[in-house]
Amino acid sequence: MERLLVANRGEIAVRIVRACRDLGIGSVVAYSSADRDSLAVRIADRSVHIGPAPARRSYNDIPSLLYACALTEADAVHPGYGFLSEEPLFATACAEVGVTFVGPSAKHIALMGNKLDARAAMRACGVPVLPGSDGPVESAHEAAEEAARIGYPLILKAVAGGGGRGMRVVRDPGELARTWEETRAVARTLFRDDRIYLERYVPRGRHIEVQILADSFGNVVDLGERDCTVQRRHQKLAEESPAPSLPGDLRERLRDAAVLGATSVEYVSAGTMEFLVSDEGEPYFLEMNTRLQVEHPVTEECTGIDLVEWMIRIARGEALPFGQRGPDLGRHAVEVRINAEDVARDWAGSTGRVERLRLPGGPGIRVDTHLYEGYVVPPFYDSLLAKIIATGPTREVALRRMDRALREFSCEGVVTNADFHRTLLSDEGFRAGDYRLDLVEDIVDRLCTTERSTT
Amino acid sequence: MTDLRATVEATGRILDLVRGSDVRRLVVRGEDVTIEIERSAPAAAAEAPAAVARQEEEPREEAATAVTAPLMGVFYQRPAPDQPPFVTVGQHVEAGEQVAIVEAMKMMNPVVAGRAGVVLRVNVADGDVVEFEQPLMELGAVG
Repeated sequence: MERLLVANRGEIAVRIVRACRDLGIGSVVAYSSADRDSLAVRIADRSVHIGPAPARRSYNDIPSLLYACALTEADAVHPGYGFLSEEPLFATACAEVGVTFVGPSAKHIALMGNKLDARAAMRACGVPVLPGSDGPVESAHEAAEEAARIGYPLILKAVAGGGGRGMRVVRDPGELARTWEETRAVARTLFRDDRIYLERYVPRGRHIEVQILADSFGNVVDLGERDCTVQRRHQKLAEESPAPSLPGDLRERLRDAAVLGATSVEYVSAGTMEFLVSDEGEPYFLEMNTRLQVEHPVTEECTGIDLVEWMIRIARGEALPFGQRGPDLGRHAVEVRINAEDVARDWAGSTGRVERLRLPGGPGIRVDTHLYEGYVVPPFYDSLLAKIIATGPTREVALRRMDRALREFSCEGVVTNADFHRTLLSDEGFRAGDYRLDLVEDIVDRLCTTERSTT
Repeated sequence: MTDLRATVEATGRILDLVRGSDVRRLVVRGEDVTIEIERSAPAAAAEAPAAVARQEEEPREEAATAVTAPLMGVFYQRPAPDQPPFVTVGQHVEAGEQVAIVEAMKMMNPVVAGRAGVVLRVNVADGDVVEFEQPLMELGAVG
């Protein structure tokens, strides 16, 4: 592997270019018209203009990316997250033209991309899954029958969904038929696949995921868990590792389940097994992400392992030198996502030019970002601007460092959600490490109430 | 200005030296002057190579317009290997006239001139992979 093409943008493109530098591999950044002045383009060895701003004709356009490889003689592609990272066709197309796809095989991407197949594969090897329908429900009538068996509340999920999209909660039988129709329509639009299945809904759950690395020699390493319970509408806002206050041996059970699942399907590359943990402390498999995650730095800070580097090394045939339980530096790490979002305007996306930028630093602080002064945030893509990762010997120290970093952070010209994160850090439940998936909603409700009572 | 004239004369002498050779591109950069000489597709264009002298501060001639690639793919100057090119250097084209092809996944995407003009030069060779919006050829003013 001599030259790697980055088929992505934003902070993750910067992250991958840096990994290439560290490994002594050449880097090529494929960019759309909206990203011609991006940081990734500026720091890469080379860049290729692959198409106009809409992702359909640039970051999601397989032929353009393959021509870009041909033009620059790139012999590998890293898809990052989002865009084509979980598109089996892309992995297949790369293989067909002799370009190494830095990720799992098309077979594994397809298996885990079909949420029903993934459920079935995990249940077959003994990983716990939520009670649900074994196949897609074909009619509102069938949905009602299945729902009666599973019990309410339940959640309707698109077979082709994932990443928090294409799912709706149903709390009583009266809502089922209408919600079933609506979810189908959304799934048809989003995924061009309107198959829907049912799963029991866990109301006050926690979202905990396990990072694994697997090589092509059958070695599967677990790198610990990340607690991703701080979410708004299924979109993660903050993540930490280790997960605070897990009851009993739950941590070990989660990690064992992740290794079991990855091993039994003979998975290769970096991957994440996502679990929902019920209020009673029972873990259930949700989905497996067959790609690099946004929150991967949390694990990197806790283990000292460079995940992007190891994805590349596994792709070029190297074996993992770690035991099944990966290294653990005994630290606590927390990450917040700084998004171009206006919390006061119902989290509406914002754009604009970064007039002044002050990034935090100092002991225990890492910032992964593509921002620079003068950068214009384009309106075409996701709103992630920066990830601030705070690490310390204990959770308390890590949180205090995060508060320090957020006080230092400033980004004039673009509205961000940075203030929300300071509110999150001051929340009693969050500080105590005792919080559930309704945390963000609670905080927002309280903010609204305070606003109303002060005006 | 004397510097500019001297440079132009020097360039003329360099041009004489390279005429008939296979030199495709020559750039002479002075402190405030850039001179470019390019011989595009010598086999197709036997006429005198285009010489462009410009002073960076005040461009004295009407800028050429580039015809750019409508998508990433493979550039072809002719509709089929055994057929003549859509256009050759020196030829007049109308706005909307097809001047080349960019092939992507066996789809032949026409490249059309955005305005009327004379083809000054073709920047890429048949079979080259081109980027989105890469300048493929330059069109000069009509007449």
